Amino acid sequence: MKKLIAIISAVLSIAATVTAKDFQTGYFLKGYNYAYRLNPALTPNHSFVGIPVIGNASISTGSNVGMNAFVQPLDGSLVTFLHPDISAENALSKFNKGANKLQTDFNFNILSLGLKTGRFYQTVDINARSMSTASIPYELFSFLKDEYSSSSHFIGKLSASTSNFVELAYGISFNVAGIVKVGARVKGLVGLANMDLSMKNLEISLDEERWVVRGNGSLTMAIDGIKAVTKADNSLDLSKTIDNIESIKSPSGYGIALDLGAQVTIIPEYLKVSASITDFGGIGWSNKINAVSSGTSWSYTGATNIPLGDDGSISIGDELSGAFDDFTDIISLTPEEEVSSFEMLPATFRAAGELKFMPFMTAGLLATVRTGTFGWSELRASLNADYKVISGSVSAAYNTFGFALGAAANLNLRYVSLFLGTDALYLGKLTPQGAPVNKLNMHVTTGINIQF
Amino acid sequence: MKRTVLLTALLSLLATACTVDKDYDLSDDNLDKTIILAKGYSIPVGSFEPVYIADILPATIFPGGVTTDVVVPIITASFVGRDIVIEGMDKLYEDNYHFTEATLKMVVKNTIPCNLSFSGSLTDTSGNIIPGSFMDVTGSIESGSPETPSYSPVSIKLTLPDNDANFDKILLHTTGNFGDKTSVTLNSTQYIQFTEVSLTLNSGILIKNK
Repeated sequence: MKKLIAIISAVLSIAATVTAKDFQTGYFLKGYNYAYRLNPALTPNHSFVGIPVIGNASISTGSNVGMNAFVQPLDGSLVTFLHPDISAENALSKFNKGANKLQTDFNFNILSLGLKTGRFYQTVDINARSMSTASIPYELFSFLKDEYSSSSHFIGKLSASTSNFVELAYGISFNVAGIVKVGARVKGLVGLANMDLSMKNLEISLDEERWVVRGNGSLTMAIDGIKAVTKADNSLDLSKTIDNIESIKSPSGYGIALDLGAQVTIIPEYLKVSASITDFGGIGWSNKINAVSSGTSWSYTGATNIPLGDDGSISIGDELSGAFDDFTDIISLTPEEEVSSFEMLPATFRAAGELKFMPFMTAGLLATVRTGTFGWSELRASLNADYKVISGSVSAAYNTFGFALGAAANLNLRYVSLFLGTDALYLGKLTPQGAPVNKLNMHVTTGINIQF
Repeated sequence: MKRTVLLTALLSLLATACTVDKDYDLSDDNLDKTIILAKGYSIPVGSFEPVYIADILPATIFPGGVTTDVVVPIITASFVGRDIVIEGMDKLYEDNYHFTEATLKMVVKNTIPCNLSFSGSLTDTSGNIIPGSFMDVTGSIESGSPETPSYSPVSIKLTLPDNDANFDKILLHTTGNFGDKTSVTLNSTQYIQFTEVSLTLNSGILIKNK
């Protein structure tokens, strides 16, 4: 039981990291320098240098479940959903009936440069990127919280993944035949750390005579310096393995990816359409840890002929403690030979249209689909305005994590530009530590750039 | 001008959209990590080695050490036997597990030719009866023999005060009777055996602030 809770905590901590991602509302924001990250054809009309670290900084989280599902105020304290005074009905009503997903996407700009040279616009970026996702089925929370109602619980699939790498990108865009602008970015990828944890078809059956657990588990980890630490039964001791990681001194993988985009002016000044694919590529990881579940089924029926004590007493404590300890083996993973793996980046497809309906205002519609383990999809509509040195956008979106409101403003001075915006305007409460209380679906981005 | 005001209002909205809820202070001092798990679930324990007749019947009826059949005349039909001790419950508390209500279920195999029943008490690590504790036994053990042992289901409901971390032993006080028999054949190899033992956690397992 304790290990199950530890797993949930670990999964949540992986996904609850404060992160940053590309700024969807910026797609139509006039004067925003970094729209080329969403579509490499959308380069600005001037050259710029992003001030290192603060050129483009943002934080975001995406989730279809809120922190208030995991913790609740009670009698002056904050308690977990497993607290004895929180009813099962109350606790479980706050989780999604399907998969409870948490996702983060970090794209931290270390250096960026945009140069307008004749008919070409060229960009150079160095970015630190991190993508993390976790999925916990409702049935696991139900199993942990609910009173015994059935001996058999089909939990389903539990998973957590994180991929961390540095991206070195070169991009170019130019006009073709006057009405078409195309762009491309090629990205060299240096892998720093990668982890995939999966438990499929997890089924737990508990009754007085027998505990049975079925499931297929696997874990791969590619981190420089990591070594498997095993227990006496040769199963992986995950916490000690992670504790033993020292500083990362060399990459654990290499890869390449491509961004392609185009923008077509249908009615000059009034109607434009555009489309892009980004992150088409992958990384080859050298996995130092490759572990699988030691069996597809684990069964515990109690011991037979448990010895009596010297005084003829019946000692039950060891057996009860042993039963709990053995139960933790349901996610026992045994290390196997190291393997290499090639993992595709989550390619992202975007299609957009922008209509100018007033001298200073446009309306935009952006559809986004991100594929793979870290996948999500979104449809976002926006109203965009610009007036002299200032521009702004407001947007409304429906995505995998629910409804979101976005807003952005950009100030373009002669040599400096500043922007501030959000893809998920969080209107709810924050913890004193600054985390959203309701759905962890928030995003704030800001940056200062020098332009010329 | 209107557009500038609109954009200024937009920026103001971003800055003021959130409020801090102090009830959700995630600091360790404010977070109560007490949890309860496995409410109503059962733990299969298994079966124990036999408890032999000399550890159950009083010496006045069976002195022990007799390895051959002894025919014993029955003078009194009922008797008070020796206590059977189920111990080691304190092991649970080493991991900070607590429970207030649980049911110990078992099937008792009996090869002793007398009926047995249990009552009992719950004691702490110092051997004292825990104030506020309660034990309720359902079922009695039918008379058996080595050739035709009896199998009797017994259920022992344990009730403890909140979070008693000193719970250690279950003392099973045995009483027996020979029914209407005038004599029985006793042998030191006769025994009772606790089989199919399970512990049902009626109250669940409470884990305090770990």
